[in-house]
Amino acid sequence: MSTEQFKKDILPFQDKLYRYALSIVFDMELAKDIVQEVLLKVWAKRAELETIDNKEAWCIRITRNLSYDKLKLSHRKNVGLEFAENEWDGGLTPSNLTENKDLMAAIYDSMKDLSAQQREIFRLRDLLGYSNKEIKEILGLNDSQVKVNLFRARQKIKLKLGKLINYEG
Amino acid sequence: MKAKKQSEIVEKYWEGKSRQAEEQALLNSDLSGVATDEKAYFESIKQFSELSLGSDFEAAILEKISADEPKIRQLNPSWLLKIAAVFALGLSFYFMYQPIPVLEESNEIAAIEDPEEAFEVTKQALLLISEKLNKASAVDVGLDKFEDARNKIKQGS
Repeated sequence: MSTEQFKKDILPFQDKLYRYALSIVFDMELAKDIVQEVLLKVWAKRAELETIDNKEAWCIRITRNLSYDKLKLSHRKNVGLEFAENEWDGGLTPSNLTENKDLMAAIYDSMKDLSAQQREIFRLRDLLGYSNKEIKEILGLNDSQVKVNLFRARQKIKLKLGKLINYEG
Repeated sequence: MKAKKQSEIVEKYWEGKSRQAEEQALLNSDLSGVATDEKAYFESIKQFSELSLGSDFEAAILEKISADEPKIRQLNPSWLLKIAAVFALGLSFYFMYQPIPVLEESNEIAAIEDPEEAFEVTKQALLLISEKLNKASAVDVGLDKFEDARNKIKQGS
């Protein structure tokens, strides 16, 4: 893959990767570093890229793993990825909330009560604008899992906003 | 988008039934038909989805990957000429100092030391030559006859 091809095929995802990383680590500088690392990793593995059908989904998965790794590292927790996802607190600390503080706090607040899977689907659908079909592909879930988790995630957020009367979730 | 339509989409959104295009249209609207607390939520979603890295980031990445890309060096034409000249010079020196091969004489007769055997070989050689000469003479006789015939025809006409 040439630089031009990389520019055409991979770089258009960079903002999505950034928002995705940001929705996990809630630190703009760290999210930037993550995206940079992801893109350089992808470039290093450019020979493999030809065999990958969905390059965007592949990049998202790399970003996801790296973001949780960084999050774990920043918390100095010697735990696995699954634990990091379940125990997610977004790495939200006063020191890294200098930029877009209110926005980050609002997004974080929307997500904090969601389960790991609901959070993931919420991120991909509402923050990154992926369709259910794309989410299915990225996360390896089926249609109903995506729909149900998206519904439950939104219901929880609505409940938080004080609008839901009969919620069973 | 009208306020009523906005609130319809919001309802569908919470049920997880809204389409992506509807959600995008809602986010792009003024959200006037959305309740205040929900409005803040949708605004934050919209703001978040507009965050980007900017062109500086892309330039920095491209610089890094370009540095890593294997470079194809273009040879200067003058360098090519120099290389060709050195090659030609080398080639000429090589041929200049090549030893000239001496052709070994292979004279069968000279190699025969027995006088009788040499006589026999010489006799055979002479016989072969005379045979060839006889053949040539025969052809020559034919030519004379042809010449005579031509002269007679000329004289007759």
